[in-house]
Amino acid sequence: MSEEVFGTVLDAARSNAPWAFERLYRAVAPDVDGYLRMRGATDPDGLTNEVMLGVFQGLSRFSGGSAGFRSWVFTIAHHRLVDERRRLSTRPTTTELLDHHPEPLAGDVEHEAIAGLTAEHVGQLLETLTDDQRDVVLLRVVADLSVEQVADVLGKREGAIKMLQRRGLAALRQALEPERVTS
Amino acid sequence: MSSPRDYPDEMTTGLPFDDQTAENILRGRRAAVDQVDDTLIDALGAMRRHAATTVQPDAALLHVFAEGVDDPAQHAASEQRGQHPAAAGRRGRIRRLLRPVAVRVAALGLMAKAALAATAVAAAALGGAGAAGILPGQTNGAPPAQDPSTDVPAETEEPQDPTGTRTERPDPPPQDPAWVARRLCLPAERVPEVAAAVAALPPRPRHAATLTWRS
Repeated sequence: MSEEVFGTVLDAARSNAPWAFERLYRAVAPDVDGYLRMRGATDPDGLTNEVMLGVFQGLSRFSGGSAGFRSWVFTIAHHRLVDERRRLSTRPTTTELLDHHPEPLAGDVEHEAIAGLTAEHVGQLLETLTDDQRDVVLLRVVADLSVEQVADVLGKREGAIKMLQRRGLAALRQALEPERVTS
Repeated sequence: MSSPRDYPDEMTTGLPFDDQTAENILRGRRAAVDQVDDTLIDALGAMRRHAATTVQPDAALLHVFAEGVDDPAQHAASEQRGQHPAAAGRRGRIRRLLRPVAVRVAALGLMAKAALAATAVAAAALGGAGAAGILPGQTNGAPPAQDPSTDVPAETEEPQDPTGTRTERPDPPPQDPAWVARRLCLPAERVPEVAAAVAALPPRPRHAATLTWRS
């Protein structure tokens, strides 16, 4: 969305034009949902709607362009995720029993095998990261934010974000290493 | 192309990447990184794909809504209310798109909430599918994207605040103790023990928010 179009859409959304809500929703909600899901939100779709409700109701407080809007949306999403974590930490957690287990990679480390990683394997890879590293990697990869934007969202310095992404990538690379070796 | 030997920070931080290499990997610039990191780029690509296309069972409900929305009698009545042509045209596009999109969105699994008002479901379906690249673009025969210049006059006539409803979903149904025992590789004589444990599980309410606006 160009800055000019974004400005038009934002103005219309502030006037409560439904088409503008729809455009903004379409622009960011899928990525928000993906981020929340990959971060392990218990109900990512519901939380996405919570986030978007907060966005729509807070449009009058927002100022900036499309990049700033994206950062702002993911800041809200991240805060909602943290709130959920806090809420859940006060309750005992239970885990659903699945009727299947992720199949281990069969030692085939060819390009295609990695490219075809299942959701479970992607989840296992993310498990190798610390919380901060996971946030940074997912905000960079799934939310498509820049280092500067991720720093805004997480309230950290850009240097810290760069270090976290390097450490995160190093951990992912190490996690992929055994699969590479067994080929 | 760089190689692990070329990463200067490795000596000082113990990390195999400098900032630029990390950026190249995150951006998927294969030509700028060593071949050994292609696997990492592939894994990040898989991460991106799975974030966008995870299936959710709830999405099947969208299809039910789509069937209801696509009721010709229902729409014949609403179209006789003298709506603005631009708004009516867009609603028509949504209706035409909704039935095939609903099935595709069931696979996408995004924003499909049974409690959504039908119009918001239409918006969510288009949003999710469009962002995931499921909806065809103008180049392959889809209707043109919405144009603020035509939609603004129609929609600002009747502004509607977005509203949210927070609900608590009921607990999922209790699990069959015999099945749980099998999953835990426990012998049949321990089923009563498992049954007691299952019965003692705490409530697991799930909170949901429904976002609605009128289009």
